[in-house]
Amino acid sequence: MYILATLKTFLLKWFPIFTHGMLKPGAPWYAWLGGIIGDFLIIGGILFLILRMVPARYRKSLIALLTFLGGVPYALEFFWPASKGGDNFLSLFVRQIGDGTNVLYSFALGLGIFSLMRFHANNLIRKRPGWHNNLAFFVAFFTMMLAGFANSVHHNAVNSNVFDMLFGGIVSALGSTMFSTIGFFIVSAAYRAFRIRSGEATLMLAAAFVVMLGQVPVGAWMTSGIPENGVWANLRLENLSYWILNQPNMAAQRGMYFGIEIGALAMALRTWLSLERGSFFEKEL
Amino acid sequence: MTIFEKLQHIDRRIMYLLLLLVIAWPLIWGMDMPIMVSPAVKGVYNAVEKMPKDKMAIIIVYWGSGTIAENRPQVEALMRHFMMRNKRFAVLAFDPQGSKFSYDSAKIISSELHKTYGKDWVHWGFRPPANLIPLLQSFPHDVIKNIGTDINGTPLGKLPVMNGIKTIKDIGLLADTTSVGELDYWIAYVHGPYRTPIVYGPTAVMTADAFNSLDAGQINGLLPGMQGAAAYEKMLGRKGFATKATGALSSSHLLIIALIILGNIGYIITRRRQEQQA
Repeated sequence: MYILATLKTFLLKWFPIFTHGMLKPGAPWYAWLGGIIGDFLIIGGILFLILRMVPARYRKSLIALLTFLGGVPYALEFFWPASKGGDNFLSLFVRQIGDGTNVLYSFALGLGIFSLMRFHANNLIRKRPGWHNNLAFFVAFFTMMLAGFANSVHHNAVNSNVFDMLFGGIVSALGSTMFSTIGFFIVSAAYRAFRIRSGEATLMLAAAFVVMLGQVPVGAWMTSGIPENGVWANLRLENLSYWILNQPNMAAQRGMYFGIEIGALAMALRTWLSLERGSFFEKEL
Repeated sequence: MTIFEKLQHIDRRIMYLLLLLVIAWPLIWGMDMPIMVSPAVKGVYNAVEKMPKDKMAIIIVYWGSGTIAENRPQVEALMRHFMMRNKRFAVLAFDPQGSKFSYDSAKIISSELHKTYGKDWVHWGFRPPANLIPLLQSFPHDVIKNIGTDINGTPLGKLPVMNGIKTIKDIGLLADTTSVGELDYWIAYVHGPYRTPIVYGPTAVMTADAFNSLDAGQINGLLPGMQGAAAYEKMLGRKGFATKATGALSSSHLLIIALIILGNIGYIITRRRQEQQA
């Protein structure tokens, strides 16, 4: 009894500190930090130990089992009848998994930054051709980061203007410029690609002309002589364009979507049931 | 090389220069063209008109500087419409650039229409795109708790604009303006279970995909790129950036068509001559 009581006291005192899921709002920051690290050590440690303890030939089966168990709540939650509130007994659990997924995504961000830094630092240290581009990365990265932090921590006129100048004046302007150049390539590509080589190509070209003109005011202007109402109105370019988008296009899109979604469902099932084969899945563990 | 062969191989630098000119000319000197309003755009207008005043709209901003020319006029027209009709709205951004752009736009329009931040509208700030699905799963149950604070860090519960807004059932309209195409998620997680009306503002190249949802009634209306925004501006009776820029849109489309026709004239005549010689 004494041992159990001691264990209970110990768990009540220390377990919440090592597992942030049991912490209440308002807990001190060190408890949260300890909880997050504790989570990783406990869950990661248990999984690692299990993986090491299991004989090599059963490891794939274990991973397959864990993958299957990981997917079960999602499938069950979706198909299980919901109560009046729209939830069932698994809904809260699924939302908590969603929170956990966010944590995993945040690791991807850190991993991405680390990977970028390592790549650029390697090139810079070895002074490989184009090293000045690697230097530009570090300058841009740290300048933007410092400006962002400064503006958040000490929000004053100077920091705000510096941040706005960098963000609005450089980052956004570069983004718009990069995207705008696509317009020039589209013109060049459309000119070279659209050749009437067959009946199908002619049909596609005619449809493209109608949709392109119907989507812009000049199309409406070109057929503005046709009455807006009545049977003849169907020949106005904007109406023809709308019909092409809303009828033949939609039918084709739906057909494609059916194929894509069935493929995605099959792929998801294969991954969930660990039936997928390939270089990664065939690796010796 | 004959003239017809040359027509098939126009130097791309000439095409770039022509495109630059035909875009710049209407933007600088203006070019008035009749703007037609499609049923899809009317659907957006009607959805905003029908939204009950005791409910709130959410404008989703999932675009950045790359598509600012197409998406910002859509967002601004929507904001203006909500403010003109004294209907509350919140902006939720999934792009850090879009968050700033939409906040700046809303401030300008609200100042013009004498509306107050926190009372007539609110900006919920930027949320990471990876957060979209967990957010969609949880926020319909408790909007204030799951969004937490606005763009300035003020708790949402302290803002009068949020009075009476608790769950997704208090959201009267969802306007998704995007360059990404995450509409399916909104349909699956919001429209499907709660029947919240959705209107959609994609970029022009994404428009073709959206007609499925429009026809199925999953979205109430559609703003196809900048042209959609221009048509919406026309319905609001105000000429904004989109209306001015449609001239450039028209001239650039005409240039592309003209170049394709020239290329094909060269191709057909050259092919016929080769056949005759053979």
